[in-house]
Amino acid sequence: MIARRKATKSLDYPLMLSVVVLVIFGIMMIFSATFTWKTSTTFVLKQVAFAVVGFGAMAFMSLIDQHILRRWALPIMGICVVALVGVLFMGGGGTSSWVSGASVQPTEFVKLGFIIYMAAWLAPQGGRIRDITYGLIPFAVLLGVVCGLIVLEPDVGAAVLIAGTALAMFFIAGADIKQLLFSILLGAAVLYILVSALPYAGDRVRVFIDPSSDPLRTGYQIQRILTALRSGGMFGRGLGNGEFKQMLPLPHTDAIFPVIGEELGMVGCLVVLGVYGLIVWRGMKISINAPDVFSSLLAAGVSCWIALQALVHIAGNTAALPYTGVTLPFVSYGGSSLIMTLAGAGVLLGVSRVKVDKQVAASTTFAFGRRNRRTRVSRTGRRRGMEAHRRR
Amino acid sequence: MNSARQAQLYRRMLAVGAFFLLIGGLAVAKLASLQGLPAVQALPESDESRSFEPQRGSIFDAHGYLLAVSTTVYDLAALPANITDTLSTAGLLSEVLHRPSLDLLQLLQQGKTYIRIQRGVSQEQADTILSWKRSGLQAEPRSTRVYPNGALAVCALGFVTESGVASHGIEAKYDDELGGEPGYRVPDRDSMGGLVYRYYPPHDGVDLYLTLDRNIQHVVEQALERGVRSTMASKGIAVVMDPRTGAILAMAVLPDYDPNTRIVSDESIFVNSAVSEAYEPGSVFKVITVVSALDAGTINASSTYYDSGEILVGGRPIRNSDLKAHGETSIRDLLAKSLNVGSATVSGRMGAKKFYEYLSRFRFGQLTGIDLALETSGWVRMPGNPEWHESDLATNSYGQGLAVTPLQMISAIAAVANHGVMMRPYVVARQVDGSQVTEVSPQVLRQVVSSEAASEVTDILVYAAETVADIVGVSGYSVAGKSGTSEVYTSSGGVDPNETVASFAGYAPADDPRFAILVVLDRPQLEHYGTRAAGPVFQEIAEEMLSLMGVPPDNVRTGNR
Repeated sequence: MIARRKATKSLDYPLMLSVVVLVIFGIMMIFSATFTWKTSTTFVLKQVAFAVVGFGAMAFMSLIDQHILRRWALPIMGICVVALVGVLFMGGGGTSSWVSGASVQPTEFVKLGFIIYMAAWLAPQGGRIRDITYGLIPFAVLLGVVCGLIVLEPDVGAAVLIAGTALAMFFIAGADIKQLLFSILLGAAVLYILVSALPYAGDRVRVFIDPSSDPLRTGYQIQRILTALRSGGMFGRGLGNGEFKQMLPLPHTDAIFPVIGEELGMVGCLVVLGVYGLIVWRGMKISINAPDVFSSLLAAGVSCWIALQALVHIAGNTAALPYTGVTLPFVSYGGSSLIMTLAGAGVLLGVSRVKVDKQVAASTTFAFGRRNRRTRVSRTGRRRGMEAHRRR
Repeated sequence: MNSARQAQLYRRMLAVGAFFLLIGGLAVAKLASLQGLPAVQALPESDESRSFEPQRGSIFDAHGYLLAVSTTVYDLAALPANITDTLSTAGLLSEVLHRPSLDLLQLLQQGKTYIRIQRGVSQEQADTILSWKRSGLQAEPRSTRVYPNGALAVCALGFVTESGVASHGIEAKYDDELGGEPGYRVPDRDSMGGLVYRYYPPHDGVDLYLTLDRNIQHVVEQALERGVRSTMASKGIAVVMDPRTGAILAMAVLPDYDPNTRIVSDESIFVNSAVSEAYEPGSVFKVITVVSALDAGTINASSTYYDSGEILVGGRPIRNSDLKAHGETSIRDLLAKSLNVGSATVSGRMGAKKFYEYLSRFRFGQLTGIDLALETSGWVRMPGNPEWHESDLATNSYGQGLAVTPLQMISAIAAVANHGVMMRPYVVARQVDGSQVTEVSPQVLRQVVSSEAASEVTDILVYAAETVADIVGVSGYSVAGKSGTSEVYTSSGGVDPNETVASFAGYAPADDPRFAILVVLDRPQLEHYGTRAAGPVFQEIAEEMLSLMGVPPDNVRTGNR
């Protein structure tokens, strides 16, 4: 039984409009953040070029059928792993030269790629996901490998984001709550070990707990950020009038939120937060109304990714959470980041286009257990044995 | 999707959304709590920022003797209106400044509001003057460059003006390294909103240790000065190089000047003629012609040619300087007697293509790459250049019709001395930046000619030097050398036999050279020929250096007593 899917022209326009507004706003803020630098115009022109490419990616992802993504999930995941291993061997070309904007950041690609793969893997599981051997263990192994590779880069911020997104997807797909809690505890333990093993991560947590400790090095960043936010006050000092933004580390990428705070004030910050809220709300709505389980999980994953990344950035930059080097989606400078988040938004828009006749849709529910290309997605010997068992 | 699953999806989505709202709420609460703190005031105007000058690096010779250093001096000024007792002030000042008190009194009684009394007052003097606490006297500190040895090695060092502009030589070439980075401070707010300044200290300049040796430099300057005086030359140039490394051991240009005061009659004295000016090398260049021909296989050590006293090349006659014919002549005598017909015959046998290829190998017409400012590449016409004439092949073979810098010439001779291996000449041996030491290692440019060709030419040059041993020889040591005398074209285009450039190039000990020396005297009036004018200078330098460097005589070194 095949679902009668129908791609319509009715996109989720509020979502699209919010994203476009954020990108334009971002270019404006990058210009302001880098204004005193010699290379300011270069940054702005580059970001405009990235935005053009990104909107192209958004259009492309919104036009293709989600089934194509599903079919290509495994190769995409393969490319992700190869890229991550490659970066390790190239000597961290990604992370270290990231500021120059010259190199490609594979972790940004991995974020979307991993969501696609997770959705494709989770979709046909149905109730089996509650079984530890089919659900939790493969999930933990997969997540461990990907996050491990990213931590080795080292980019703990991205690893936390990917782990959080994957956990949310696992949860939404119907995971057993007890297992999930257990794995979160396990993850927290791993994170604790990481934080104590990586010196800079540990420093950041210490500074989070006591911002006035170590004021010359790690604490310096958060002090600068808080000073910038405070000087903005309620309504800000006006666009381009920021002064403390010049002393922020990476004001155009990892610390763009305090620039917004200084120049547009708390009101500006709340508006930006509101726009993210709108985007995430629309994304979740799209997920709930999605025509099939894969599309639903895909939309949920992308929404969680955007929400988590925005929250980690904003919470980190307000000292509500430890500071991590994470960009503000759609706003911060950075080619890989902007293009991939716009592609993610394109995925949401693509899902929002597809409408399915209700009655046919109901029948797709029973298509879960069918072997509709499931073997293409994940091939473990044990599961193939399971199929044989079932056929019998 | 079935409704049960849809409901679960919906519930779980709500839970995730609630979690997101919780984090967002935390951030908003943090933002709001920041509003409760007192507002941060704007920073003061940025002209309150100040910059802090770094100390310019010092220059030392190879053994660590100071050649250039920056210190602080004071410019003394007075505001006459504020001086209460002009007479006693003038009296006190005259004692400290060692100037007649009457002069100072006159100065102070001028009806101006501001009077400069003296520039460049030392730290001690300024301290004394300020200790009186007399109103109306001001001492403004200023950084200045001091060269403790006066004119020693000034052509290589260059100088720094009062306004801090580095000019010529090492000072100009290494201005960025010596200059350092200024420090500065910028206003900022601390976490409580108080005004603080962030201070970025200046980064002092790098100290340079040269390959120049103060003792050798002194010997070279003394010898050159005697040579210039005794021949009444208008200019003298001497360059001493270690052929094994390319290190410049001494470099002197006369007339010179004191870089502390820089009082010169003519600013062209500032130009380092050893690297920034080219001359016609004359017969010294025959060494290059012969070693190239030997390397190319055009001739060998036992080759001979027939010297008729005159040959025609490109329709122009080439004659020996003695205007005589020498008959069947060996290559050895070609160099020893410095026969123009011979070198023209050799270059003719090589052909233009090969001859100029070797000139390029020896880097004539190219920069040597020495680390001194304002190096020039000289001037060599190559075939293909419309101004090149066939006869240039002949005239160039004995060093006329082309211009090379003394440094290019000595580098080429040093390559012959160093078994055919050409080294890049350099003057800075070591850069010291705080605790970080960067050694400059010698750099091989290329094997220009074969070791065999080089040693054959060395043998011939020892023979050539022996024929004039009383002028250039050092007893107990084998010396290789070749003189050169080139004609200077006057402004009318003619040649005046009394206007010459006399030069002598050589190295010792010939079998294991420790140094190569080039002496160039421009327009010597009392002696016109290379050997007789420049030879004694070469001899004096070689003799002194062999003893300074502690080189044992040949019989001790080789064990043949």
